[in-house]
Parts: sequence; structure tokens; C-alpha cells
Amino acid sequence: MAAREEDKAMAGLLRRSLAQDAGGRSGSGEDCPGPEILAAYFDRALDAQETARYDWHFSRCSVCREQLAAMPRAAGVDVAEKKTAGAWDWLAGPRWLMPAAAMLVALLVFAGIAWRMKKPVAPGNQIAMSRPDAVPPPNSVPPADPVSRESSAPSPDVVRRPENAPALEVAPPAAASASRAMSRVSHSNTASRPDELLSSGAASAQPPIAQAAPSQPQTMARQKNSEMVRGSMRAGSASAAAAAPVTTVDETASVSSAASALDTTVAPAAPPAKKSEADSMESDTSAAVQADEAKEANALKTKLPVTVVPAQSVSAANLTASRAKESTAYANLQQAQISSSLMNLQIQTPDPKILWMVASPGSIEKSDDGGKTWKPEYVETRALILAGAAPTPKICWVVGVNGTILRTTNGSHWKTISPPAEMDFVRVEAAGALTATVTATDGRRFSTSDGGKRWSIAK
Amino acid sequence: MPSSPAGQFVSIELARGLLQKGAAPAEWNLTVERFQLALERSVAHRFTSATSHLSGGASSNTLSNTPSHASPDARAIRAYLDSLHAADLALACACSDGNAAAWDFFMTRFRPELYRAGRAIAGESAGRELADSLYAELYGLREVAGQRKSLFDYFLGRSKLTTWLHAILAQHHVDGIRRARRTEPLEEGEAGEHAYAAQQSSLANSAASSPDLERNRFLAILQTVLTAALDALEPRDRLRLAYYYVEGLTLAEIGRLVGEHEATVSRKLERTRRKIRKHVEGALRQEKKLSAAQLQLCYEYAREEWPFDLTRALSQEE
Repeated sequence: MAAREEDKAMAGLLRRSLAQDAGGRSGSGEDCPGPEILAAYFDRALDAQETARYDWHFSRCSVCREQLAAMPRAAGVDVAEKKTAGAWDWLAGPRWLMPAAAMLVALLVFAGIAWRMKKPVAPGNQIAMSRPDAVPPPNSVPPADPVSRESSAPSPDVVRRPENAPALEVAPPAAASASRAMSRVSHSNTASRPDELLSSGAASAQPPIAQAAPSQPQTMARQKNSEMVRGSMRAGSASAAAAAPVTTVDETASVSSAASALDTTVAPAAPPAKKSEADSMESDTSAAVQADEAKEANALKTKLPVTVVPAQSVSAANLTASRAKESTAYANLQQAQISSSLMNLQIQTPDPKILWMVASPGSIEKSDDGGKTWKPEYVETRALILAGAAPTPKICWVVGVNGTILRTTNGSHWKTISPPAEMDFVRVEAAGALTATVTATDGRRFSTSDGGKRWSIAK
Repeated sequence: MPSSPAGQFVSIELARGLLQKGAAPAEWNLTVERFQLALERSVAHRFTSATSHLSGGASSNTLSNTPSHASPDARAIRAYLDSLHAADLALACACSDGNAAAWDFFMTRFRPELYRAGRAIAGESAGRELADSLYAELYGLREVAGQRKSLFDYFLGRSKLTTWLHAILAQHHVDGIRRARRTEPLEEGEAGEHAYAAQQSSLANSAASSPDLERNRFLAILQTVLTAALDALEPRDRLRLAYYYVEGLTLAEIGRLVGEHEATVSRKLERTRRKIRKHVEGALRQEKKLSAAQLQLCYEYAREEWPFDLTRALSQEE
């Protein structure tokens, strides 16, 4: 058994053992210290001798431990709210600060987009977690460039947005450090904003490319609240406050409406900057776009999201080929029948009664009755899981941030798979227990045919 | 609550100085003598509870007035008094006495915090109810021997008043949950007991007659060895493990509780896990004479579902 498996077995043993030990206590609380001692212990106002004595007691008393476990939550609210308030205090200062910051970010966004247009876009970047029933954007433009952050954004705290987005997002310095998740994502190569990953992975409602799509007011209105929630999920209240609505594909859009929207190459609602960008791209890639329209329409009939990549430096032939590959990838993805809601990533299996759900970071639940009841599964990770694929009712692969790859082959026991690299994975396609392909945020794809022992870069 | 004769530990001058430090407003009508009494009680609790072990607070019985140390060190008492949160203790005294101005101050300053903490502990809907349930006890609607007994009487000033209120909220919340656990399954109790008995019976049967006898034996050995390894841990190490594995706290929350950075918590947790594993594997190899292959089997079996009290089931059978 691999060392990781032994660690996992040991973790399960510890959990059982300590829980059983706790259950063995009377729980009457007769010997337990009162709130004044718990509070003094929490405030570290006890002397060393007292602390050692109560450490011993708490290590064996589940009653006291449960009470103490609630204390950080109670105190944590204070900390979080103060931190949030403090982080945004500077916004309540001089009136000119907000518009000045907005203008600065607008300039940076403009510079970033201009720079991005000069760079080829890796086809893999177009492939992101997508729900099979999600409708692709009628007019797609390339996603954020993998390396644009380093060159165009002066700081990871400044988050790029399309210039036609209704609001500009600025993460204040304090807010940037408010959440590890946020910083982790904002430092990733592809995602231009923290919730991009989530929208492409955890929520998986649309590929990242959709976020650069031309604005549609009604779509924005519908998406505003969900984006705010996603922001808060990923980066806590501080980043939630910073999250602004972004343009995304309307999850509720019908296939027919999306298909009809394909007739328009450039959205009339696009602002001048976006229009000029689109125009220039149109001239270079109009042939490719036209050639792809039929393919996209076909894909739409089968509810497969297909993206258009009007990159200047990519030839039409390559573009078509890459798009065909993406179509295949999405077709594979459809097999996994991944559908996610705003908060929960649901993974369907070929058996409609058996469903998997990622309810929160590190939490996987299973339903054997079509979603009526859910049973939590033990997984040895607390990382955010972004995507999953279940080729059979018993086999399921899930991937997430920080190189998280988990697999079950018997429908209950989850095994941590060694990742090909410590990076964030936003998509997984699985053909069975041994064969799977994972996609990282920078578009790179890695395949394994031996259950994750060896990985190779997928073409 | 321990008490002591007035002036035994705290002189009136010392009480006056601390009251001034607490800066209690005049409208609270808090006298030096009253504050001295509260200080005496706090000192008595601190320096007599050493022998009373882990008693204290609302759940403890009244301690003997005889201090464990015939005469606590004056410097230790002084240091203790200086460490008290005098302002919070003064407010608690005034509120306990039922002073309206003090109550207004308390409600203005602490009620939002109470609601917020209640929501954080018990959730959005039950949080407010949890916080509201405290007011009656804080005011002292309960009478003991014809005298109003306020929860504020139990505040000793050793922690911030806010933390103390959090602790009371946590205590009420956990008490409520435990009460619910005790009362809810009453109707199902018999069925549950039958199921448990059937489970134990089947376990015992399987231990004796199942072809998988080896599995049960290995698991029982593993449990015994692991329990011994856990018992050998330092309390703080065991506490971290329990917070992590039983209470499901995050590293940051554990760090807040044990006064360590979350990176330190993570490192120490890992070290403890390694230590336990080394202890367990050593014991399995040397004491239980298991081979490397059998050790691997133990881990394999441990990954599956099994009741941890298997030893009991097996010993009953034997």
C-alpha cells in the first residue's frame, strides 16, 4: 500500500479512536470548568500550570471541547468583520479615491487586453469546466492570456476585467491577503479573477472564455448575485465586497436563442474598445469563424459548448483543429454528466440514482437515491474541488486546486492521486478507473492510463 | 462560587485603585466595598481552586472557604489582581446590582456583539434566540435563598467580558445540543438498542465463525495499540488531534485555541501523526510480532468500515 494510503488509513483510525474516546466520557460536565475558566483559557489568561491542567482535561472531555470549538467561531466573526471593515475603510475616505482607482484599473484592463491580442492563445485555455447543458456564448473572444497577469497587471491585487464589464474590480491590499484561496487563484496563470476559476470549475456554468463575451444587460442582471456569492465563497467577505458582476453566459438561455445569436459575429452592444478588438479579430479569422459556425451550431444541438478562438496568431486551420479537439473533449465531458449549481458541484453517473456532490471544500457527498438523501464521504483533503467525472456508478474522479486529484473505484473509498504538478485543475475526463485526463488552469492537459502513477502531457 | 472574608486578600486601598483603573462611571453607583467583594471572590476562586481541581463557575458547587494555601503569596495576588479586566469586572458588578445605567451601557455595547456571536455559533435563525436566552440569567431572574442571582456574579474578570459571554453562549449551545441528543432518540431508543445488540451479536459471531477472523483480530490489535499510543501523547498534542479529527476545526481555529500559528499547528499535527504511526508500527512489529505484510493488511482493513469497539465484541466472545 502506498504511503499516502497508509496515512489515510491512519487518519481514519485516529478519527475513530479519538471520537470513541470522547464518547466514552460521561459528558455530564460535573468536573468541567465553567465559562469563566473557558474564557480565561481562550484569552490565555491562565498561568502555565493551569493551562497544562486544563489541556489535559480538554484533551479527554468532549463536552468542554465542543464548547471551546464554538469559541473561535464566535470570536472569528469579530475578526472577519473588523478585517473587512478595515480593508474597505480606505474606500470611505476621499471621494476621489474610488473613481481614481476605477480609472487606474480601466487603464490596466485596456492595456492588458491590447497586450493579450498580440499573444496566441493556447487552445487548452479555451477548455474549462463546463456544464453540458450550458449554452456557449454567441460571440466568444479569447480568454485571459496565461501570462498577461505578469506583464500587464502591476499587482496581483489588481484584477483585470473586460472593458465592457459593468463595474471594475479592485481588491484592496488588505483584502488580497484576507483569503488564501483568493491569493492562490489570483496568482494562478489563467484566471484573471478569483471567481473565474469557480465559475469555470466549481460552479462550472460556463468556460472562462464566456467572461470576456460581449455584455448582455439581462444576462448581467441575472448573474450579478451569483457572481457575488461565488466571490464570497472563494475569498470570504472581503473579496465578496470586491466582487463585481461580470458578463457570463446566461445559464437559462435556450439553445435556440443561443443558436440564433450566432448569426451575429460581433455583438452590437459591444462598446467601442471591444468592437474595435472584435473587428480586428474578425478580419483575421472571419474565414475560420464562418467555417466553425456550422460546427458550433451542430454542437449546440447536442448542447455542447464550443468556443470560438479568434486569435490573430493562430491560423484558421489550427484553430479549426483545436476547436475540433475541444469539441471532442466536451463530448467526453458530457459522458461525465457534470452539472453544478451555484454552490454545489454535482456529478452524475451513468446510473441516475447515484450522484456525487461537492458541497464545500473537502466535502464530498453521495446520493444513492437520485439526490433525495446525501451521505457525506470521507476525503483526506480540504482543498476546493472544481470538477469531477464519473464514467461508471462506482468510479469517480474529482480534481481541484493545489494539485488535488481524488478517485474512488468502489463508490465509497476515496484515494488521493499524485498529481502531475502542484497546480490547480479545472477539469477531468475519465474513461475508467485507470484512464483519465486532467486539465490545469493554464490549459495544459495531463493523461494517465495507470490510475495516476504516471502522467504524460496530453496532445 | 468561592468567597472569602472581606479584606482577606484585597485591601480597600487596592480595591479603590483597581476601581479607578476600571474607570466605572459615577452613575453606576459602584462602591469600593462592593468592588472589593468582587475582587475577593475572584482571588479566592483563583487561589483556592487549585485544590478543587477543575471546578468553578456556574456549574461548580461552592468551594470551601478554606484556601488551599494558608496564605497565598501577596505578590502573586497582586500580579493576579493587576491582570484582571477591571473595567469589565466593574460593569459586571454594577449590572449584577441591577443598576439601570450600567445595564443601558451593557445593552448598548454588548448586545450587538451577543447577537453576532450567537449567529456565529448557532446559525442565523437560532443565534438570536440563543443570545436572547441569556438576558434573563444575566439580569438574575432566578432567586437563590430569596436573593436575586445574576449570572454576572460568576464573572471573575480573568477574561474579557466579551470572551466570557462567548463562552456562556457556547456552553448554552452545546448544552442544548446534548439535551436534544438525549431526548430525541427516546422513542427510537429501543429500536436503536436492538440494532446495536444485533450488531454486536453479529460482530461477535463473525469474529468467531467468519472466515474473516483474521481481519477482526488484526483490527482489534490495531485498536489496542493505537489507544495506547494516544494515551502516551502529551495533552496538547492529543488536544490538537481531537480538535482536528473529532471537532473538525480548521488549522486556523485550532491555532486560535491553542495559541499557535496555523502553520505551527499543521507542523505539530504532522509530527504527532508520525509519532503515533511510529509507535503503532513498532508495537505491531515488536509486541504483536506482525510481519510487514500483516502490517499492510492492518492498514487495508482499517480503511474499511468497522466498529472501533471491536475489541469489546471480541473479548465478550472470548
